[in-house]
Order: sequence, then structure tokens, then C-alpha cells
Amino acid sequence: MEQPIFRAVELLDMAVEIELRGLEFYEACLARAEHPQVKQALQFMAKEEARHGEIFTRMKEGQVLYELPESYPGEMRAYLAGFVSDKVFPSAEDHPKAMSLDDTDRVIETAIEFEKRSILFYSAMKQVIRPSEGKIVEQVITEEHSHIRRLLALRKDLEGSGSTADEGRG
Amino acid sequence: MPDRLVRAPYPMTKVFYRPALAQVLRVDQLTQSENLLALRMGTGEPLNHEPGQFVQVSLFGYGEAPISICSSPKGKEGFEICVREVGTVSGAIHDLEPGDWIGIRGPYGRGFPVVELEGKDVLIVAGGIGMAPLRSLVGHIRDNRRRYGRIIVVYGAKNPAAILFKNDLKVWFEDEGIELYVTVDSPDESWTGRSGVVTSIIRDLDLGSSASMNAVVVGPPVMYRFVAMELFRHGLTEDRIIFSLERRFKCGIGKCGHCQVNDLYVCRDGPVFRYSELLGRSEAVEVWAPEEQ
Repeated sequence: MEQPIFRAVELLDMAVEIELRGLEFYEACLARAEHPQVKQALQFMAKEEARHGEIFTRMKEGQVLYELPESYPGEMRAYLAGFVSDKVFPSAEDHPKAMSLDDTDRVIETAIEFEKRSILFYSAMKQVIRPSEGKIVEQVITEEHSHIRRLLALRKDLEGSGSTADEGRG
Repeated sequence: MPDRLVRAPYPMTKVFYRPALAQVLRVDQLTQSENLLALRMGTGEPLNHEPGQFVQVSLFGYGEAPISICSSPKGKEGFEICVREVGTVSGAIHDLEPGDWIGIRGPYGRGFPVVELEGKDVLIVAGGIGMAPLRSLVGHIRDNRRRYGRIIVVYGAKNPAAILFKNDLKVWFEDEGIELYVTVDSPDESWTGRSGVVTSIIRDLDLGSSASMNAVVVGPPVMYRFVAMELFRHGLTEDRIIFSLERRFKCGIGKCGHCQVNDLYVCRDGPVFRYSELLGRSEAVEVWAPEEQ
């Protein structure tokens, strides 16, 4: 199965959907978090998801729109959201067990793990995107790599700032 | 290169373009916009259709529309069609009453490969009004149950009010020979069943060894590729995924070109195709995304 099944513009829609799920996930974590440093990290991650969502939305500009007729408004979005629902971020009911909020390091590690999963997903999707649009998939993957770099930088910053979440609670 | 097609034999009708009369025996309202019509040919003869075929239904003064046959071929009384009220012709057909007469051409097209599927497991995936032709297939399988392996039916509707063939679903649910899953995209307060698009159910299915599994899929255009992706995840290959395409059939006999997909006339060479037959054909836009040729 290596046929071009999707168009790049649809992959960008998936990317926007994944970032939205990420935003929801981090906001849900934020609502449960107690330690200031963990909160700070989660706020950063939520902002990053929103920023990336905007980047992918901008990338859609200039792409040839591809819209199959829907049998009801929102049908395409429903299928698209269903398709990416388990690809990167956990479903809403699995939010509480998906990320430990006790330790900033582990929060960042988990976030990096999500980014790696997204890179794996987009790399696999490249096989089913039109070859002529492969560059756009590469751009999406590059964005996710930059996201990982920013998370690593955040970890370094927080290490430099002193206390960990566990220490703070003690 | 796409697979070669096994073309359907031309319909038995001698004069292709002349409708035969059929009488409306019964009209059942299925939903707010869909009616089920039971029809009998004026000659009293059976339609002799295959599951997956369609008829051209005409009403004098209104026009003609292609409509899937939704009953099992075994029905001796006549046959059934499910009509969604979307335009002038379908609206007029929708308003018919028992005793009214209409014109019928067909049955036309290549139906589901019911003989090839014998001895195999079959996953039937229906979205919305795609359940209409698939009801004919399920009916045929139930009429010949011993010839088929495991049968799984996954049906998705927009919301609970849009679920078609509720009486049939109850019967299928009670039938130990069928594994039935029904889901709605947008549940309301009354709905206690599953929610989400059909792919969410397919993803969680345990298909066991998929070696003998074939999937038959009919639904809205946006559904096909997402279903295909889930089927690939289960190990199905393109030659074991069967789609029925919807196009604007006019003549129904491969002459006018309204339904043409590259070198295929969907009305004559389809509407049922294996996925492998559509690969390489750039105009089959709902099932893959090839480069424009």
C-alpha cells in the first residue's frame, strides 16, 4: 500500500487537528497541575501547539484546495479528526494517565515523545501523499523537529532556574 | 497499471432505453427524507437483479433518476428501492403512493461479486444512504448464509434520526450470523449506542486472520479513503477492498459519458469496483489522490 491517497492540503488539515488536540491535552494537564514549574512548562507547550497550528494553517495558503462533497457540513472534519485521534495525543478519557505531572523533566520527556510520534506519523503519511507534494510533508516534519529543539531548550532553561517540581512540593 | 475489468454482461432488457412499467405496492417512511418503496414490474416478472445494481426510475413529466435496489434478489413479490428526496425527480418519487405507476429501466451495472465472496469473510461498511445497496447484499448473504464466512456489518449515520432500515437492523442484531455495529457521528440525548465515524469502529475490530477477509464499502465520498486506511492497517490489500461509486448516471448503459471515470463508465463497468481496479485512474477522486494526468 504505497499509493497517493491524500493530498498535502489534507495532511495540513490533519496537522492542524493534531495541534488542536495537543492544545486541548496540555490545557487539561494545566488544569490539574499544581507545581509552578510544571505549570510553566505546560503553558509553554500549549502555546507551542497553538503557534504550530497557526503555522500549518498558513502553510495551507497557496495550496490547491481539495474538497469532496460532504453529505452534511463537517463530515470531512469528522473523518479527519477520527483518523488522527490516536496517532499522537491520547484521547480525552486517557488524559489523566498519559502524563505524570509530578516532575518537570518527565513532563518535557512526555511532550518530546509526542513530538516524535508526530514525526513518525508524518513520515508514514509521506508514503500516501502525492509525490509532487512531498516537500510540504518535509516542511511539516521540519517544524516538528524544531518543536523538539524548543522543548530541549526549555528543559535546559528550567534546569538552570533551580528547583524541580518534586523539590518544590517537599 | 490498473487491474483489468471483468465487464458486466449487458442487461437482459432488449430495448435499452424504453422503460417498463412498475407499480408501487407499498411506501414506508424510513426517515424525514428517505422513503422505502416496494415495487412490482407490471408484467409480474421478477427484476432479476444482483445486489449492488441500480435501476433508472422515471416519472412522466419529471424525468429519470438512478436509484440503488435495496432488496435481496430472492424477493418474489418484487423489489425495493430507497429514495432520498434531494431534487425534482427524487422528490416526485418520494411522494408516490401505493397503486401509482412508474417507469423502470434496468437493472443496470455490475453488482457486488457475490459469487467470488462465497466461502470468505466479509466486512460490510455502510455510511449514510450507502446502506441502501448494502441492504441488498446483506439480504442475499442471509438468504444464502452457509455460503459465506464471518459477516461483520458496520453502519454509520449522521445522527440517530438519520438511521435507515431500523427494522432490518433489529433483525440483524438478533441474527447470530451477523456481527452488527451501528454508530452515529452526532449523538443526541436519546442515543445510548456508539458515536463517532465508522472508522473508529473498524479500527477496534478484531478481524482475526485477515487472509480471507474482504471488505465491501459504500458511503459518502469523503468516507472511502479513511476506511481504506483502516483496512490497510488490518492487512487488507487493494484487491480485497470493494467500493461502489456514485456518479450522475444518465443513460445507465455506458453511452452518454456522464458517469465516466477515465476509461470506465461507472454505470456499466461499475458501480462496484475493487480498489485495485481504480488505482491508476485519476478521476476516481474519492478513493485516491493521483497526480493529474
